[in-house]
Amino acid sequence: MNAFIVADPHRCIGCAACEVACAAAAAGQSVFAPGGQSAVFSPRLHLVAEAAVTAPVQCRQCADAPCAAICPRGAIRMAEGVVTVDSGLCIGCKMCMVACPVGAIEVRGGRASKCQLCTDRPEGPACMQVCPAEAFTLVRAQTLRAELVRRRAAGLCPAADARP
Amino acid sequence: MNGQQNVIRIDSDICTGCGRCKDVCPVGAVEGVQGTPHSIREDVCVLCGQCVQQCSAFASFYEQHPACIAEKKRERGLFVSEAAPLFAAWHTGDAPRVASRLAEGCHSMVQCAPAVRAAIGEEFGMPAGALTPGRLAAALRRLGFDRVYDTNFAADLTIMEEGSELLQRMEGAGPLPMFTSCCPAWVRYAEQQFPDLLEHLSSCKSPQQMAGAVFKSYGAQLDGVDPRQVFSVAVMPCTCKKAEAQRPGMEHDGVRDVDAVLTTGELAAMLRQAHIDFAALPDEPFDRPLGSYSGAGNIFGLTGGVMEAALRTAYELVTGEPVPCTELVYVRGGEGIRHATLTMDGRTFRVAVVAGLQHVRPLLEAVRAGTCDVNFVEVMCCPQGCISGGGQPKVLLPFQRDEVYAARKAALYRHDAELACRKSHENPQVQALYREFLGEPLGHVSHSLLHTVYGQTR
Ligand code: SF4
Ligand code: SF4
Ligand code: SF4
Ligand code: SF4
Repeated sequence: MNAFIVADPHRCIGCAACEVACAAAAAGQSVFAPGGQSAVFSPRLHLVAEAAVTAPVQCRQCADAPCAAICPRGAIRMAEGVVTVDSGLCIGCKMCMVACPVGAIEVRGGRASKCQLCTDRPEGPACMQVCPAEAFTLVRAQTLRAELVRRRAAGLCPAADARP
Repeated sequence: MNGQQNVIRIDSDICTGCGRCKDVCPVGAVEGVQGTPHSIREDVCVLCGQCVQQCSAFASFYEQHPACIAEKKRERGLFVSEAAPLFAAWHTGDAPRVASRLAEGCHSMVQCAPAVRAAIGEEFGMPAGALTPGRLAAALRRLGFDRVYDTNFAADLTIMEEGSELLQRMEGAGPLPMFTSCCPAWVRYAEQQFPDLLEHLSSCKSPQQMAGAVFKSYGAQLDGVDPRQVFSVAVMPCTCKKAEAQRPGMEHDGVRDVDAVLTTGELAAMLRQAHIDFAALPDEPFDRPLGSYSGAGNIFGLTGGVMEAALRTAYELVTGEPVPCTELVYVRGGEGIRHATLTMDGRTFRVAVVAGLQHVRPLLEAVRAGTCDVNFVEVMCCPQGCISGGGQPKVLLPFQRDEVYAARKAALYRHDAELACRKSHENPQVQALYREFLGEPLGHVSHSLLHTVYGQTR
């Protein structure tokens, strides 16, 4: 399993700080620095807002990524557990947008753009770093296993033979 | 060529410049540098809509304002309520116009091309290859068309006229090979690139236009209405048919044969707009007489179909005996170009079937050079014939395309095999039309209604 970031909609207050931070990280420029507001605003996650709930949504780094499977150019590949776009190969056809089940990939400026877990950023994912509500979790295989053990111990997970 | 241009367009706001439309265009009409919006050369484009089928770049709600999307829908001739995404390559739409004409009340007659019944189900969640002639007739009736007729009837009529024309040419009355004229994208290509060979084209109008002409003459007479009051609509798998309906010469006594052309996708949109649940409709028959058809008429929807239908009839006209086997598998299928021969009355008859316009040039060069010994050629612009036309439900995932096209094709062959009447000349209503109205194939009435002159493009 790959690592991915997921946000808890019960915690998210809908402030969109994550979008701004993501866009700034993607542009390699702070939007609060002088002239920064003219940077291309191209976040790789999106705040989805409904009347009852808000939550940021971003790439789940699927192990069998449908975007990678559909890409006619082989521009999307798995690189060390992260679904990664090779901009040089991408032709901007948007097939990956059609294929992605969570709407986490977009074509901007003729190239696919998606969350790549800020692997090039020493501080780690920018969205997690700025979220005032601490809504994000970086999920790793170990995290899931630990959670499973915790739930079993708390009696929250019925044993396999007890299921209908 | 008023009104014929711009049926196919690329929206530069949405086009990402991926260039994949360029790869499928059979005539090299798409221009552009990768990464910048592409454009179509109107003088070369044959309006087949293959680029529309291919394009996967759509307007994202993240990038486009909803009001702008609504504006684009209006510009494209779509219902604003339509939920399908807007792709960069698109064709003009006529559904809102047809819906309002129907609501106004007029004497409406509709025809439906064979390939539509093998694909429209996909728009309503049915599997590829679902065959729905009965539901299609019911759906058109629910939309309020007064007469629900069928292009297949006119396909049978085309075989009568085209077959007779071919035999006449074989007797020395015209140049050979004779080329079919039912695919308007092919006709457009011939007119643009090979004007010196136009006398090789059959003078027959396409089935769409023949049907329209018969609606506004015989059909109007049967219903006791003035032809000028008939609103004639065609439902087609094809984008180029929209332009064909507007060609010069496609009229009679100043009355257009066909007033509006809808694609398969547009008919589906009309049904959704009218809240008609296609999948739940009962099977109903097409109206008679102009909705009755043979299996031969039905296979016009796929490559090799016109040829197979023509040979079933020609064999009988030449030899006086029915063709030994109705299924002429040797003209079926095949990408590109296929040659076949048939012996009739001791004479060898050579035919060729071209699927995909990019494959026709060598044959035309041979005709020009006088080295082509073929008698009859069927040309279809789209890769598998009309089942893969530019107006069919879009198959977005390229790896599914072959599978879906094969299923649609199989559906049309299945339909042919299931019909009792499988030869155009045996269609009793076509026989009645000749008896009561047209006289004989290539006769005076059919000449003025069903034939035209190609080459009047500019
Ligand atoms: S847009 Fe780029 S990354 Fe996405 S499928 Fe097309 S070529 Fe591949
Ligand atoms: S409509 Fe057909 S001919 Fe015209 S640009 Fe598109 S693919 Fe090419
Ligand atoms: S029209 Fe569509 S297929 Fe053609 S270059 Fe633009 S995005 Fe690509
Ligand atoms: S093959 Fe059929 S769908 Fe394609 S352009 Fe010709 S008539 Fe239209």
